[in-house]
Amino acid sequence: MNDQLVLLAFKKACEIREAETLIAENYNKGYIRCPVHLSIGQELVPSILFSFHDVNDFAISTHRSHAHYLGKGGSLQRFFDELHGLPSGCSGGKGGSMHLIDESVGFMGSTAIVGNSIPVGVGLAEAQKLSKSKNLTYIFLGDGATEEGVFYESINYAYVRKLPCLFIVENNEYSVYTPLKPRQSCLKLENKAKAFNAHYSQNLLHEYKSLFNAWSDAIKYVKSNAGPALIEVFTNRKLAHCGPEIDDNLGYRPQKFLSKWEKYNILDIYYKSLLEAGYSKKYLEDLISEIRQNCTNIYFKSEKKHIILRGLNES
Amino acid sequence: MENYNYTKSINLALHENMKLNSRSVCIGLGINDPKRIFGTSIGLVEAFGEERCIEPPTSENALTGIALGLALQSYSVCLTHQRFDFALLSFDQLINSISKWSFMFNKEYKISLLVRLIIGRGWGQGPTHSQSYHSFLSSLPGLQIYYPSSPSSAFATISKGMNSGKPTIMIEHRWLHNTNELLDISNIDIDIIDKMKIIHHGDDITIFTYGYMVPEAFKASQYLKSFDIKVELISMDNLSMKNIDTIIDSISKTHRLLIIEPYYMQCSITTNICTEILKKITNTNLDLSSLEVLSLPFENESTSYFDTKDRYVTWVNIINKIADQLNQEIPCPTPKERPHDVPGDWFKGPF
Repeated sequence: MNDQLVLLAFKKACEIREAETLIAENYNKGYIRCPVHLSIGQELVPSILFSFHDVNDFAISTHRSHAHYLGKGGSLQRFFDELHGLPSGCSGGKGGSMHLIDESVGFMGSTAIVGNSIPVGVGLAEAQKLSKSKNLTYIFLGDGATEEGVFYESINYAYVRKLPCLFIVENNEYSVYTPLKPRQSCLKLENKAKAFNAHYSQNLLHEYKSLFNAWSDAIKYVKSNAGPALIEVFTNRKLAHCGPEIDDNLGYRPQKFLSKWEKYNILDIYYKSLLEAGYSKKYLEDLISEIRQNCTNIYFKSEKKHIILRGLNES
Repeated sequence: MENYNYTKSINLALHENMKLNSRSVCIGLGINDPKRIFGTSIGLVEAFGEERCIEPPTSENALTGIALGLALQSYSVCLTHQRFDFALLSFDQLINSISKWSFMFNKEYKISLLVRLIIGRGWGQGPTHSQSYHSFLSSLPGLQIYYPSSPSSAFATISKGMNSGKPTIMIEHRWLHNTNELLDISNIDIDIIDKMKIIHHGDDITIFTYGYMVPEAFKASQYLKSFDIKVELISMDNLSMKNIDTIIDSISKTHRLLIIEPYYMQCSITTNICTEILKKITNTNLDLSSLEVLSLPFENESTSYFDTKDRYVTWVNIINKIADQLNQEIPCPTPKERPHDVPGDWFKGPF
């Protein structure tokens, strides 16, 4: 991963952090009137996705899909419009936060039922195989979805038919408030993936370079008609499962766990690497300001449209 | 014109659609096995190969999502479940994905996805091999539901489902598989399944039914004809149909109505039809006291031969019910001696 790619990933991660922060900061105004599952803290995966940008690859995602949508290159304006329930949203305002789509960049949809979009992704990969496409399908899911039967049905099918599927599991270790241990008889997803002959790799502490390399290997693997690959990325969602709040006051995640992830904030990691690569602090700060300004402008355009459409007075 | 049975007409329709469209796929447990889904998939894999005739893992839910993924990439897909009951595992995909994909993403996707759901009856099919929640499916916006009652309508349903761009469910009763019809197979009007049909003309009483009860009601209508009771038998294949004018016209003439629901009456499509009739009742002079309904008892089906003797509605029940309604003495027919749990000598089990 050369420095330019690191810079690109950093910019995408910043954009996602800004977008999600704007949603959180403004949510209580009541202009976004749908549940939101924010990805603050989980920007690593979508930023690496962006560094392998190919609009002809497909992606399918979950209820927590904002970052995947943006990492695939989905339109930021249409995303904010969607959250504001506007006809100009990426799903015409019908889908809201949990049903995003931008087919122009290969983001083929996200749905709200845990595990529900996984087989649809496998079907897209089946279509790619039947039509002899050279592209692949990304299937994004969380650790909770690996407890659903349809995950096993799907990964099994993907191997049996040798489909170009790349499963990316973001393991934030919590399904809403419940940790892994009471949920899973076998905590090692590696064993489960390998039992289905999937090519497996793991990323423990936001090591972005090793994720980039694993990602690159997995792409080559699934494109060689060998069957699916699965990358498990341990990560951390900073906010509540659903909504704009930090809910660590509830005490469901140990302090040790939270402190560990404070040290592995992916934005700080990218920032430090870029400084070491010779980018100046001023350059990076200007960049962050520019991204922030851009996201803010776009966000408030959506908010304004919502206010006008509802016939409200701007406060 | 040639004589075709229901199974053969499905098979021909699948062959024709696979041949006409190279982006069409058949998928389902047993599709390539020696029994070939009761003979309906004979010759497909030999003609089109395993890439397009997919014998899949036993994963009903995933398969349904996979079929959607294929359909979204402009593949025409026929997914078959040998029992409706098995497809209950796939209702997440059917309801949460397929029925609302176009709505959720605000775009009229062309989803040429046909799901065949086969209904069992008799021979101990019991509580989990004889269920038919077609009425529930017809309550879902975004799906079109057909329950073809004849070989020609089965042919048309396959063609429509694989080409219409709308997710389609075909309810296929196992006991219809050996029904016959003289057909010019190259000249079937596939839109015929979107119209209510008058299958038997008469002006004494109207019967409305659909699906596998149509042949039974037809047999009863013919029997009654020899006693000068003229039945008007009306049916539909498209369960998503809202227009009931044909029924209204008929009961305006007969003033009497017998409704036969192939499954439970509770929350059924026929109760909806009753509501629609009530809205237009002033046009019909329907004698409400004549309104009768036949359906299955609201209880799960036992697998025992001894428990199921009186469960299903037969043509004899229909005749007796009409005789009561018209207050006429009609000799009870004595059907050819045959166990009650098979559709005919052709059926030897196991399911």
